[in-house]
Amino acid sequence: MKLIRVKYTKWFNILRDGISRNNPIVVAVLGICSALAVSNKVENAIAMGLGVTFVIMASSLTISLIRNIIPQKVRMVTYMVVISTFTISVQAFLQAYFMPIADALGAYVGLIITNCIVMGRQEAFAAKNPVKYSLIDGFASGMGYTFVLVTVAAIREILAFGTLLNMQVMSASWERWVVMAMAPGGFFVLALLIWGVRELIHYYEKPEQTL
Amino acid sequence: MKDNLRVIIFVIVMSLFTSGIIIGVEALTSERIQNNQDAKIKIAILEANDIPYALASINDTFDEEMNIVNIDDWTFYVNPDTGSISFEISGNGVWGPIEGILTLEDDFQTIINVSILQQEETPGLGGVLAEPQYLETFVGKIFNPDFQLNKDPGTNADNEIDAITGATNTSKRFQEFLNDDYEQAKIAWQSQNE
Repeated sequence: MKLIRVKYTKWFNILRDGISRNNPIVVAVLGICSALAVSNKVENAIAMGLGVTFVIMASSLTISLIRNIIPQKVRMVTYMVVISTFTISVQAFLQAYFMPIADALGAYVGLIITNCIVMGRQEAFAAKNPVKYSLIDGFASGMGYTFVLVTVAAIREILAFGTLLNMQVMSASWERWVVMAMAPGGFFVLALLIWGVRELIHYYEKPEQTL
Repeated sequence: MKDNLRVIIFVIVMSLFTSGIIIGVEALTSERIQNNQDAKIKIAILEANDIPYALASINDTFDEEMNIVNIDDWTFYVNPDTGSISFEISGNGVWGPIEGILTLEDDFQTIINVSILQQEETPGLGGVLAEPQYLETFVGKIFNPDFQLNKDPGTNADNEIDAITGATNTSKRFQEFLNDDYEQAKIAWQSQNE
């Protein structure tokens, strides 16, 4: 009985929206740049996904807390400053405790600042909603991003290196698909995934109305 | 007027708050980040010397296996067993600084290993510089009296390897500072060991 009711709670809907119906990458097509760049290994994808999730949640929390005192004129700047602060924290944390991953991600950790997903959630959600729901929304969007990243990375890593999370899964004689480790491989897999997921959730873009 | 004042106060409070967070994070992590940077150099040198190590005990292994010799501004890392000498090389690439470690045999001429610790060259072009397949081509080559990245097809001499296709400037700059640093390090090293 309770399980059925869960489907109608606000937090469940926000969570589902972020992960499937409004998935930032698949449906909104945001954050593609970093998604292509760091999805060649599952390890990197997980680190990047968690990093982005943390930045979205922390920024949403902060923005939501101060949403009533942010002056309209400087609200975009406020988002940027808050997002940058948390991004720098993530970068320092990775460099201090996960050096190899920080090296592998290179400039992309710093570029979380420009990840449209983060900015988008602040403006569209956190600036108008209470803290609790903003946190859930941030988590959902972050997980939606992570989910896509990890899926793409799993496919690319298996085909390109014959490994999954650095463990050998294909036979030793596996012919490596070098293209999968490079940018074109990312485009192919991501495009197929977006197609697949959109079919699955019945998301079709309507042709734009012309007047 | 009142609105403007509110904006200014908000901006000031906001900056203080965010700066506070960043200063805190910096204080918590700066020491570890510095240690990690040092460890990177040590890893590169130990790998160049084929010395096995574990990440957790890298400092101890390094202190045991390598001697550090400071001459003028140069720091040489000497392997007492083989006599091989490692030192840092650095210079400007096309997009940013390039830093690496050059390891030579005890004749101070023959290359054992070149490793790149940091570079920001164009991925796929100049970035090839940091790839293991490319760095392997340095092994066994000799500074005689300098080192060349050869653009012409055909066989390479003892002191030549292939330049990177499509990365003329990366190749040129790398060759320049590699030779400059080698020359200066050689003068320092020989002044001490003659």
